[in-house]
Amino acid sequence: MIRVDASKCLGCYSCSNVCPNKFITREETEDRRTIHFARCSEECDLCVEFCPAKALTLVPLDLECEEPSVSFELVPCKICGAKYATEPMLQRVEASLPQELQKDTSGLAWIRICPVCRRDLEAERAAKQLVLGRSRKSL
Amino acid sequence: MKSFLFPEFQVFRDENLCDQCRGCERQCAFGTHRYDETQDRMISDDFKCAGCQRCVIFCPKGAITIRPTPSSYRPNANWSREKIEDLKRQAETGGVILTGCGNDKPFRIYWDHIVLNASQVTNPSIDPLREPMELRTFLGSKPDFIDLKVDGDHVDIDTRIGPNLMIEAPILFSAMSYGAISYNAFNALARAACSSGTFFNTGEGGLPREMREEFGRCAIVQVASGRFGIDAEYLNCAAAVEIKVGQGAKPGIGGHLPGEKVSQSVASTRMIPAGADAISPAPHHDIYSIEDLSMLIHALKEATNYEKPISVKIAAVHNFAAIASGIVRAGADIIAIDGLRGGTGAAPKAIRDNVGIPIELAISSLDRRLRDEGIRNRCSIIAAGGTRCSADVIKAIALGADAVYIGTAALVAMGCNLCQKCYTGKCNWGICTQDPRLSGRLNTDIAAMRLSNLLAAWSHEIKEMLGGMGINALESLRGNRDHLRGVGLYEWELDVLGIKGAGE
Amino acid sequence: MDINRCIGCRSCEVACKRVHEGKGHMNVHFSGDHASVPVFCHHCEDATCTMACFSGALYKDGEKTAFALDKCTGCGLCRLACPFGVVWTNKLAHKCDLCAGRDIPACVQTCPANALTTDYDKTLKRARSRAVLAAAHGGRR
Repeated sequence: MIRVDASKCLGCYSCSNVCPNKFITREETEDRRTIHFARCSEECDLCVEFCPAKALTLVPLDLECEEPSVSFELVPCKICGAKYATEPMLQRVEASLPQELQKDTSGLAWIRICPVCRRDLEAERAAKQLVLGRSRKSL
Repeated sequence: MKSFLFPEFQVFRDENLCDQCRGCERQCAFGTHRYDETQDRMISDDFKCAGCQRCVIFCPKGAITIRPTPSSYRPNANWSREKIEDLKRQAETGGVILTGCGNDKPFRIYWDHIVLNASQVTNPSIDPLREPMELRTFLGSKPDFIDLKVDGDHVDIDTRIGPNLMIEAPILFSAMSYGAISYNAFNALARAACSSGTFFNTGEGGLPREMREEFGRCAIVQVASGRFGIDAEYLNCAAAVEIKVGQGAKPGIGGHLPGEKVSQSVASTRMIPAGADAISPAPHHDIYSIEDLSMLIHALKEATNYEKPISVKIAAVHNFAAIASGIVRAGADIIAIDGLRGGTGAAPKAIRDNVGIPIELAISSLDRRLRDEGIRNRCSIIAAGGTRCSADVIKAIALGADAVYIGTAALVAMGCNLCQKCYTGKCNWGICTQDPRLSGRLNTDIAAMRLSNLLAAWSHEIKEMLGGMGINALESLRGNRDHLRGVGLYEWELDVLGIKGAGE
Repeated sequence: MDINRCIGCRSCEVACKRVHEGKGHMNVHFSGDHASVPVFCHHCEDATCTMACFSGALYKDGEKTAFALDKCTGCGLCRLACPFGVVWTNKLAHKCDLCAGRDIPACVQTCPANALTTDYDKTLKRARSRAVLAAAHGGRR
């Protein structure tokens, strides 16, 4: 059966996607994501193998102990407020990128913004360029 | 070059059951299965399948079946499919065919032709659940006689007895090196040995430093021809030292560890560069005669302060009994003999399948020779090579062995299905691989539990069989060939084994 | 791409979606009345998505950022690591792979205004090398 180190779990989608027997399930509301690990005696080891944070280990089956669950509050986007990711996942992304790339030139820490707003921002930037370019030409 | 070979195995998938969970794709290190996004189905490549059955066992829907490809050639008793395809493989590559595991050819299995006695009427049988049974075995040199000093009620042994290993059941874990097997598998063997009161053999790969404190006391360390990982601390942390002269799977040649399996950790334990092939030379560089072996045995005894038994492991080949006799006289405390069916991680197929003799004949031959020469007490015999069940163990003891080494059996307990692809380093069960992704699959706690269960189960069965024979101590069975009878054997075989035919 | 040529017809969006079985990688944004710009993967030199991917499914293959389906576990870290929000996840990740397996990318082929091209000239290189930082500095794409 699966033991989860809640301090390491990122709350990502890996284990629930990879489990062939659907013992690991994900439940997502607007504000929270909960990952539930049902009692499994499979020992197929896939979830342990594919966890990015190495938060899972297999232990011999224990019928007594309760099935672990981890729950995360979803972090809101700084611009639109939509809840788009868990805090540990964002921290993991921040940790894997070099410092210089984590802010754009306007000083915006883009990691803390949801992908939808990121697309909008990029579109705005490009549009501004376009307009500037046109106005320069007409001068 | 176009290959003329058929796949060894065929993958059958019930598409109605399969729900494309990709579990099989993720489990298979050979890359047999893959998910095709366009068709939304799993596709399997028969040519890559090794027949290890990992995907079959872990498919949640039981949708996969893997079967050996039936021979499509015209039936030919002489040219079997295997012979034809190995030959074509050599024509295509010009190389030596490698393989893993033990001899799989249909040589006679003597265990299956030997039957045990049982007590009736005149000699009552003993119930192991109600009466104490002793399986405890001591491995090492026994003195020629024991001088006792009796002082009223107090009895003292005056003779100096050489160092002995005490095991609770006559089963030890055979030499499987860290490098050939994964760290997790190696660790599981060590743990199970320590918790079950027996020993494990480190094989040629040395004993990693972090394991020495906890598991050294249950370890038999090996000094092989490559001298991998040997220093004074290594020798002294262990319970016994074994000089490996040969092994049953490939007598006459040294060990092979392909470079793919030499990870950083394996390399530092063996004291060789990472990624280098670890090939042990055939003879030890300093052993070319029995006198040389005697010098090495005594050198090791000096290095370990005469506190540890020294064992010598040889392969069972023609005339090995004479060599073994010489080895006993050279000072060895334990002789380990490895028969035809011994397993390995990598060996040339031609040698694995054709060199060596069956261990059953070897045990008997050695035991009788040493008894005839009057030196049987100077060493213990450990038999290795193809022990598959507790009945094999008890027959080995009755033929004259003191204990039995299990190698293949231990790996099967951990999950191995003998697909014979150990040399690729892609063991899907996480046993014979250094790939951290694969070796991580073998959970050490669970594997150690499996091994302890195996030892407990076999011990219990041995006690039942002993009780059935009316014996309550294993020592009474040792070399006691009268408790065995042969069925369907030739006269010369009965002679070599030293047993009568059933009914006689 | 050459922004000036975009006419806002969204053919690229449609083509991409069609070629990738309903999962498109292009979005055309309209900025008020005056501009339309498509947003898509820049195949950044220092691709942050490849840095975040722990399984090696996203990797740099020469100029382009490539994707290996068999290594993806669908964890979603790449989606969070793209500064432009152009990586999507749904059990598996998917993003623009320059239509691997086709001669030219579907969007390039379809665009009626010839606004899209796969030629990376010097300015483009400069822009892509610090894609995030250069974006606001007017690096022409």
